[in-house]
Amino acid sequence: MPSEKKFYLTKEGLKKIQKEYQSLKNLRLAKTKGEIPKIWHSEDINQEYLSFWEDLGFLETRIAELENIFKNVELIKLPPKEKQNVVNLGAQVIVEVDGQNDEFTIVGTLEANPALGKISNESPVGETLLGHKVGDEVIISSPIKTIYKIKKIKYKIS
Amino acid sequence: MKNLLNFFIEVGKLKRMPRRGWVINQIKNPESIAEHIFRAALMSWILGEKKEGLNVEKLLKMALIHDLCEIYAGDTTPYDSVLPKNKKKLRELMKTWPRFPNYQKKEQAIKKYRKETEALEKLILRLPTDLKKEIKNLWLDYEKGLTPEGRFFHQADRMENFLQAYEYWEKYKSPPLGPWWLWAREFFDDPLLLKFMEVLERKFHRQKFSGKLKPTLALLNFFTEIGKLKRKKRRGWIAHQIKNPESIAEHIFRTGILAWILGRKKKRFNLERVIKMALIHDLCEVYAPDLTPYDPLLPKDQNKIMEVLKRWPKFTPSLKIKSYKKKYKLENSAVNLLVLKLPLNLKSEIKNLWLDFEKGLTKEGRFVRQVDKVENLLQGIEYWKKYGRIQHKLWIRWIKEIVDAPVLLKFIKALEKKFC
Repeated sequence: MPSEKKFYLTKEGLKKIQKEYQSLKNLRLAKTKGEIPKIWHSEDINQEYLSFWEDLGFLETRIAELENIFKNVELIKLPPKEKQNVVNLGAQVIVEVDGQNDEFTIVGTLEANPALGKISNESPVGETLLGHKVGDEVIISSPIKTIYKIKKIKYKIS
Repeated sequence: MKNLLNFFIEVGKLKRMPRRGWVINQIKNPESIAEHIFRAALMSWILGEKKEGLNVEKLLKMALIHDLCEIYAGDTTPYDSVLPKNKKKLRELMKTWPRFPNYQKKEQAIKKYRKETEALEKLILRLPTDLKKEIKNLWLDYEKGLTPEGRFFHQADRMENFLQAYEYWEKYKSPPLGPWWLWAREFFDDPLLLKFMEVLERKFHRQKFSGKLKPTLALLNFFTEIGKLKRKKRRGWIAHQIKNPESIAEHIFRTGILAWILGRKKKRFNLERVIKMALIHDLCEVYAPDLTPYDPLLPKDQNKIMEVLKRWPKFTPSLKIKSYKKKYKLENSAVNLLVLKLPLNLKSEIKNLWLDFEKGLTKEGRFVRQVDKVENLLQGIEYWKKYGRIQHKLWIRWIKEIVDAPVLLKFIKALEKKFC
């Protein structure tokens, strides 16, 4: 059974999966009509998904997963101006860690990809940064002490 | 079958590929990619079952294939673009976590993804269409986190890595733990794995445990124990004087893939059970010796051992029964000890799977028993091609006495055609 967990998504992230969902539904429709050869060059279907989703079982699983996300999605909104100096979901934060600068975007678990600088709000670092302001030194001490000095906070959410 | 055989031979290369992260950390004789996969599969199964609604068969398959692309793409680390040649500078670098601007992170991720996609496609090119699609989809799910299983395994895989880092740190005081913690606290967000991380910290830093963490500690201790199979070489190859032979963990890894792929077309077959059984069938060897059929005949003089190995060992029926009983007793006690502190349901599951494998109680048990021998034969033939020394023809004759699953007989035929 899919879980009822709330999924925080940026507008961009939601658009991306809505596009994927539409593409997968087109693919499923084409499959049931037996139109597979015709869709190879169709603009209604992202060609990447053709190789992803030729397997009907997998296609159905992903469609169900996306529907569960849509049911439980909460859009990450731009905070009111007076709160834009505080780290919240969707914030791009420049921090200084061990003398090096790094840039994180705080996102929900679905969009998290630390290799690309997207940190989940449920990870220890993401969770600890939430609610802090520029100039704050956020300390995570267990088991190795690390100081994250917040240098800049910006929001690029529309 | 020829294409499947070639695929399994390629997959076997992971047994000899050391994980690059440990190489650059200058860890002596580090684990191979196959050994990492072995424990990642077991951890994803056992931890995954604690999460509601996850498809464990899918998790197991994902674990088995997630690093196959590294056969051609190699193993990458976050340090690759900044590695100095000087060993002293390298040691200094390993004390830090490399930080890059976001555009560079993106470039690196795209490059890695392309390289790995191409490598995976090359590897699976000639596989049957259904299997090719399944492997590709499982890998994409893992890479992109498309389903709850993909997202969970993406993190469970790294948790195996983190545990291995701690085990090396405890043994060699390397790798430095600072960068690992910097990374881990940014990376993990799954509540179950965060709890596991807390237990990992408490165990290795010798901190106190509250009662509610004790069941997770029992799991961690189990994973640490089975990790010993990464370093335990198979005795049969040692007796054959094979240089740096495979470990028990490496044998388990390929047995798991063989059992899944060769068993997938069998009707009314529980594949989840098959893969789980393949993964646990040799866990008893954490404590029990890895016995070979030659053991009662092996002389102490190394030079005379090869003479004994030239003939297939023949025993009287009563001696066979005696040896079997001795082996069973030792292994049964070892399994009991290994699972002793596990939660009751997991303890019974592992014990029952092991009994099924040992005694062939179900069709799955009988199949995995035979796959185990077939993997051994494939490895034996690979060593024979490389080093000689193995009496492969005797081996093939023996295996034909014990294998009756049609798909495995076809596989053996393909093996003979290719090598003999």
